[in-house]
Amino acid sequence: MMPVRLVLLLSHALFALGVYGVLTRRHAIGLLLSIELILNAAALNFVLFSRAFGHVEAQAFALFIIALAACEAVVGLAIVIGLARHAQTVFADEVELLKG
Amino acid sequence: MSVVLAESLNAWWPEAILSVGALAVLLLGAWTRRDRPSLVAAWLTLGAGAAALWMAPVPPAAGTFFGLILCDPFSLAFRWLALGTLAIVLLLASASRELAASVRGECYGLLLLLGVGLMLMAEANHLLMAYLAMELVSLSSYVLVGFLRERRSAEAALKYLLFGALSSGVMLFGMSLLFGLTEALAFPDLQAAVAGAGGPMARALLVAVALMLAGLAFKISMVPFHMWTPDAYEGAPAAVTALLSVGPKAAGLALFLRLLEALAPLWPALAPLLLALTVVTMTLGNLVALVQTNVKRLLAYSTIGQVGYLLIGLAVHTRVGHEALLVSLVAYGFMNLGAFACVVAVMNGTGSEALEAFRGLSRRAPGLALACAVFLLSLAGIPPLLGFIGKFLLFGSALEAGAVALAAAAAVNSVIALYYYTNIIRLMYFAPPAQAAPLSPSPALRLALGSCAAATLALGLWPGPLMELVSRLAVVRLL
Repeated sequence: MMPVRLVLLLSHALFALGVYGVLTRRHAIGLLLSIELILNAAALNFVLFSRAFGHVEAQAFALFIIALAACEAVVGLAIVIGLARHAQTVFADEVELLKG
Repeated sequence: MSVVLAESLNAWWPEAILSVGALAVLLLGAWTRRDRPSLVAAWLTLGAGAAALWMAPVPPAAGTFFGLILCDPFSLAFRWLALGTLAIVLLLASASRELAASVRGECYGLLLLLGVGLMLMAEANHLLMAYLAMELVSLSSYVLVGFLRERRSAEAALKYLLFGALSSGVMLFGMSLLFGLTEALAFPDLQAAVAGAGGPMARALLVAVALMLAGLAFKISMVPFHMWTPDAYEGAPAAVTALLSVGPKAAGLALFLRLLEALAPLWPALAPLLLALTVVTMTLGNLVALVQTNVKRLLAYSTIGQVGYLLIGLAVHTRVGHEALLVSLVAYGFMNLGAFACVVAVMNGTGSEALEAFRGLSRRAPGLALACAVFLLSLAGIPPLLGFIGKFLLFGSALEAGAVALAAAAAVNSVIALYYYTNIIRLMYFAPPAQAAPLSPSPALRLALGSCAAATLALGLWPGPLMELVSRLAVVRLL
């Protein structure tokens, strides 16, 4: 018997932690890591529900999330390196040439 | 090979050709470091993709790839729209002087990949497919936005990436909750599972759906997920901005339409929210556009305003509204790509993207100024141009659905928008130029400008064939 409620609580806590991190972090890598937490919270949900329902498709969904999170990290790190080269900063709040 | 798989692959040749071609163009560009071979390969790929789409058989009604994607007439329209957008954007990218020749090949490859993502977004019939298609579009556009070797471009890419990744994460979490509540991933199953939900279940569903729609709202720059739009548009190469302002908006609206069809039982609860956001989106876009001095930023806010108008077709949720949405999307594609072609031409000639660069353009390049005026007037919705037809249908659909306040808000917005569109025309025709030297666009740019202007004029004067085509597409069921 899997403690569905406990795992749900964990995934929601992960999601909330991720959102909190995105709102408070300044370092670009920290921001990317926080977003990773959100993605993993969703993946955890999919795995949990697919076990609970005996549903295979959703397990595949979790696998796709893992792969795409890796792609996003690659693109994200490349962009951060580009920014560090051109602007000598990796802090999101020092990015200021473009003003909304 | 099973029958399902064989039939699916037959319907899916255009996307397969485009994806393989895109990867080849990407490798060719990275390997040769010259743009000519990859440009030729990109055009060949696009041509082969279009030919395959032209000859694609009508797929079985049940959906291809076991219901993951749906190649129905509705998605066919959006596949053609994606291919047309790609063709014009390739012309712009090859004519633009901003991009260094050594990286252009990779740029063409990424543009094609983005195009595949757009086609998939319009075809998705399953939450997994919708997520994958949106990520394909997002990941290629993050890279494309950061393609210029300057600080502004890198900053824009970082902002775009952070906003994009966050909203796709939130969307994914919403999808996982939706799956947990309904035990369904395919859109038709979703529709069946959502029907008849009541009480706490309905409220939980609404939370999940709201989280999920955040990702989609980001893609179509709908308020309150529009903040990235001006920054990303300003930092990106102008050709990429052109694609971003048309492609993902059209494909995002297609996916939005299909998702709303799947969530139709929840419509009464979603409608007020969508209606309010529609009005806020168009008003905010048009008001902030008034004070812009950079033409790319101005067009970014104008895009937000135009998305607001397009959302009317979605918010009224009638067949007339869907028809109006399709016609306006075609109109929006031609006139906005045309406007960006003018921006590329002016940037090539003056090296500046400030509004001031348009001063006295009518004396330096009469043809370019005339085309630019046509696109701007069409965006403002002046008859007899195509933009007017689109707006007329959208506002009409709002009135027909009894949403008089919505139509009135849209009409007020059109008046506001008229100011900043005509301001550019005033600069072009009535302000003295800073330099007198004539400015002549390259042949590729002339082709892009000419075809967009011809379509804006001709379809505006004779909208019959377009309307007939759209009315045939809008009758089909979306799921």
